[in-house]
Amino acid sequence: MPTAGSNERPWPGWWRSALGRRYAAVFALLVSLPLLAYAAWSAAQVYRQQRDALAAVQTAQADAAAARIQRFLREIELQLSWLTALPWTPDGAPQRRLDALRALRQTPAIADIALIDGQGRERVAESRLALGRVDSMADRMASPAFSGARQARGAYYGDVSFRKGSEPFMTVAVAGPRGEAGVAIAEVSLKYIWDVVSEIRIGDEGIVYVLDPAGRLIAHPDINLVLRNTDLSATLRAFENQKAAAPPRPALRLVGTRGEPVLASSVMLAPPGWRVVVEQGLQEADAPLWANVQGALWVAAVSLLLALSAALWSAWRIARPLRELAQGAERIGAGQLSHRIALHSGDELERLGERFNSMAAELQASHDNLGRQVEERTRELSDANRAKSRLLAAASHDLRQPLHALNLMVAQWRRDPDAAERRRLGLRVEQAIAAINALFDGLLDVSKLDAGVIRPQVEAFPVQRLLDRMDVAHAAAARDKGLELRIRPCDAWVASDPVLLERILGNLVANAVRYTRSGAMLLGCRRTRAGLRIAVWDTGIGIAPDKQERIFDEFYRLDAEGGAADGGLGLGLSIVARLAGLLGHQVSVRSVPGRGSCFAVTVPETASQPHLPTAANDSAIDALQGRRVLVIDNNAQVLASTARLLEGWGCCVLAAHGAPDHVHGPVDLLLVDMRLDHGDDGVAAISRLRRQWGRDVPALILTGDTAIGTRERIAASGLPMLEKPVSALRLRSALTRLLQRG
Amino acid sequence: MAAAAGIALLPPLIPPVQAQPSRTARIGWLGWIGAAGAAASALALAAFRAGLADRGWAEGRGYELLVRDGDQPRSADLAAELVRSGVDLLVAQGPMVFGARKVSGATPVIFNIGGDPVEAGLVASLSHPGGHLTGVTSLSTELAGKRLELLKTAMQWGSHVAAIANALHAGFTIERDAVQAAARRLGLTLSWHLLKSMDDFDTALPRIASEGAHALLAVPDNLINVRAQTLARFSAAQRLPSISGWAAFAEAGNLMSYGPNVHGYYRQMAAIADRLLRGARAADIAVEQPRDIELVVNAKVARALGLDLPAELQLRADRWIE
Repeated sequence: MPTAGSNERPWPGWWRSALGRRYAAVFALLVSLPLLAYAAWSAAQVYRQQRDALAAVQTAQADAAAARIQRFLREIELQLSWLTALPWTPDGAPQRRLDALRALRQTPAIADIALIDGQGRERVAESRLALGRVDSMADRMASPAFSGARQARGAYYGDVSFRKGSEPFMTVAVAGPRGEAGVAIAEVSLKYIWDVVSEIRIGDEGIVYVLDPAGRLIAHPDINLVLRNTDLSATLRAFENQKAAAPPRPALRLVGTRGEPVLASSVMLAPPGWRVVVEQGLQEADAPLWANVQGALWVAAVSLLLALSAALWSAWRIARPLRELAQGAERIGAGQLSHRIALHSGDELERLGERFNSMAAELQASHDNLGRQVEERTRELSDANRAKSRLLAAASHDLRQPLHALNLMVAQWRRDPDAAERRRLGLRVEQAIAAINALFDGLLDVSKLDAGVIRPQVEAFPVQRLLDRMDVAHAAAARDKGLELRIRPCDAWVASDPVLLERILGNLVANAVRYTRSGAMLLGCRRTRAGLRIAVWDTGIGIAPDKQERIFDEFYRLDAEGGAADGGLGLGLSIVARLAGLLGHQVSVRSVPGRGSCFAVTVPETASQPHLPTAANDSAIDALQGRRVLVIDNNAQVLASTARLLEGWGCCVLAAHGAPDHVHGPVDLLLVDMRLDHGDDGVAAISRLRRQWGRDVPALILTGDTAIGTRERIAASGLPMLEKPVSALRLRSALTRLLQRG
Repeated sequence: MAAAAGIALLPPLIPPVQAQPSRTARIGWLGWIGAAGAAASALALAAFRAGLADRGWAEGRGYELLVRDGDQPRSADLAAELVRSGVDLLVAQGPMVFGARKVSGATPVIFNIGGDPVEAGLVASLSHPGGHLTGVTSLSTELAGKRLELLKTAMQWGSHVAAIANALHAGFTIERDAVQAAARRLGLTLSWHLLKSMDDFDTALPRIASEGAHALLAVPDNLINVRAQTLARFSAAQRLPSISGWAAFAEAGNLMSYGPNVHGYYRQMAAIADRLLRGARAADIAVEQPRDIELVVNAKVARALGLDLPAELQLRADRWIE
């Protein structure tokens, strides 16, 4: 049962998750950067637009204020122009005085009025402060007001002067349409412009004020600034410098009349040459901009929070399953193979979780599988071990017999000096030794087969050769038993290992001989679909059907109903089965108890090959004659007897305990024992000598070592090998073969 | 990150708070009763309070008024007392400023005089007072001659004008000279009747009656203001056209007044007080002169006197009292 996903401790916190931190950083960056960039861009846009709008609005407001001041001045002009409508008459003064008084009454801004006739003489003077004059005839021809009014079209505006250094006044003079009408000169108190400028509201705290051409403040909502003769010529200059730029002119940034930073725009008021300035606090003017920036920043902040939340959530959604996977992997790594994780995110992660689970399941299955296999192997190994033990036990049992016989015979030999008896005993000793040899051969074969050291060398050969050798090997034994061995000739060629196939057939024939008390044995071949079926028929005791399987087991001997007197370890068929398995040939048995058996081995047939020269067979015996053979064996006794043997065959023998450094004369053949002194082995010695002589001298390795490592080393070297104890005949044929191959 | 930036931007967005004094302002009022008594100052005080209210000062919450009335000899002591009680500024009526000036130290003083403050030595110039004193002038001296001229237009016969004045009035001598000069220009004769206290009315008025004046000029002053009604009755009885400086004079039953509008006048003082309380320096506040001079004519009195007011007077009158 898969264990559920982690719900042990709560999520520790995204800031401890590297994934969470990275996501948070990336999201935050991805969100906040564009937003801040937008906020900055938007702020810049708003700033620009707002400043443009402000300048436009301020200019409009200044225009409006200027228009009102213009009206104020026009009023005065109008009043004065009425006073100069008619030409002067010598007695016109009293009437004109009333006109002047009326003008004073209607225009509070006019403080003094003087009416000058066409000749420049003052006829009427009225004032709010000073005493009035009538027909004073004072000459005002030279006054700038008089001449100015005459020259100007419309009104003459004098410079602004500050009475008592504090009150702003200006002379306005209007000349009549005709010279005789004279000129009306008025002193205007500019404090009355205060009404205009103080009424105009610019935003919350913005103001309008007026500067004269010299930069002196002549009207301002705070009248006291005017009375103090505030000098704003710097501001005036700033505006005049700005004249160069084309309209719409931007608002100027100045220090305002109240001391704070302001944005100001101005317009010119033409006839008096005044500058009407609109001023607004920078803070107030920029308030919408800051509101916009603040808004954008709040949006950015909120979006950042959302982005961080999204990052947190995304990271959590991914990191939690990953954590589960990690924990799951850890558990499984720790051996808890039944652990399964449960991810339900409905996306790739869930699939990953499923894959993980299936992987874990497979791991578990393969683990169990391996366990089973190990068990099996262990069982097999222990079975094999037991089999080996059985083999050893049986072998030692079977070995004791001939050894015991040998003992007796040796004892008898000692006792009995009779030559004839000795000869008889010698024969029996030989038999006993032969039996022991056979036993060892059989044991070695089985162990070699089990070790897997035997490598079949498949070649194409005529099967008749094999049949002939069977005849040679077993016909005599059959005759001795009174049995007939019939062999049917066959001209087929087969692909197999001739030596191993000979062993198989040899064992089958030997078994047939052993277990047939009377009758005949037939050895023949038949072509079948599966290949060439070489069969051995006998009229022996037969094998019961239930035992037909078991006969291929080691040491299985049918209970001798008198048939197994000549020994036989019961290894024969097991060897046959192993060899057949190695060669890939099928072995079959048919048997009827009491009637006989038929053992067959099926071998793949092959096309016939051209007849190989079998020459040198005759010269086999001569092959060794006169050959120089180097024999190396660390066992002095073995070395000596081997040397004597070879010399008997006609070889010139050089004997050494170990690989010699220097040899006199050429060497035709090497015969080397595997186990040499000083950690040297035969293979290494041979290759060293071959290198030394610069040619591949034919070499044969002799070894009594059945260890797999040694066998493999020899097999890997490719050198032919014989096992001790080796019969002289075998040795000779091996050496001959070597020399023939060259 | 964004929040920090937003917070950093907050201060500029908070509109700057008006610099209101944290504690209640204390204004010391030095009223000049002179010979007039306590009531004289009340009119001015009321107008001043109204002016402060217009500018957003609430009496009791925003400011408190400590009133000390006296005459010029005691002005210094009273001023000192006010200064000791920790007033933020002193408002001195008429001649009280002279005593206050001696003891005010750094406390700003707002004066209210009829004459020229530069000549009186109170300020360096009208535009830049330069010290701790500033205030308003009632242009009394400048208007003195004009009043006589207006009176002359109202006189249908005769050329003798009786001038009644408070001899203790600050700058009186200058004013008298101006009136004198104007009388010469206008071809009038003047007789001066000086008062030093309320009681002097009882002696001066019969004298005026006995002298056979044709018109009465009352030099504007608190004393005159307080006894405006007395003078009204007197001039009605004597059938004298009369003129003074304050509208209250004409309202009280006299023929005319020519001078600054009292409300506007005291409003100007309140404006100065407001500025001073908000932290301006007296040296930076220019002395203000009244902008509007109004001619107030009492038509009822004119009819009672049987006066046929000439056109020029009718044209000039800014306000008629019916």
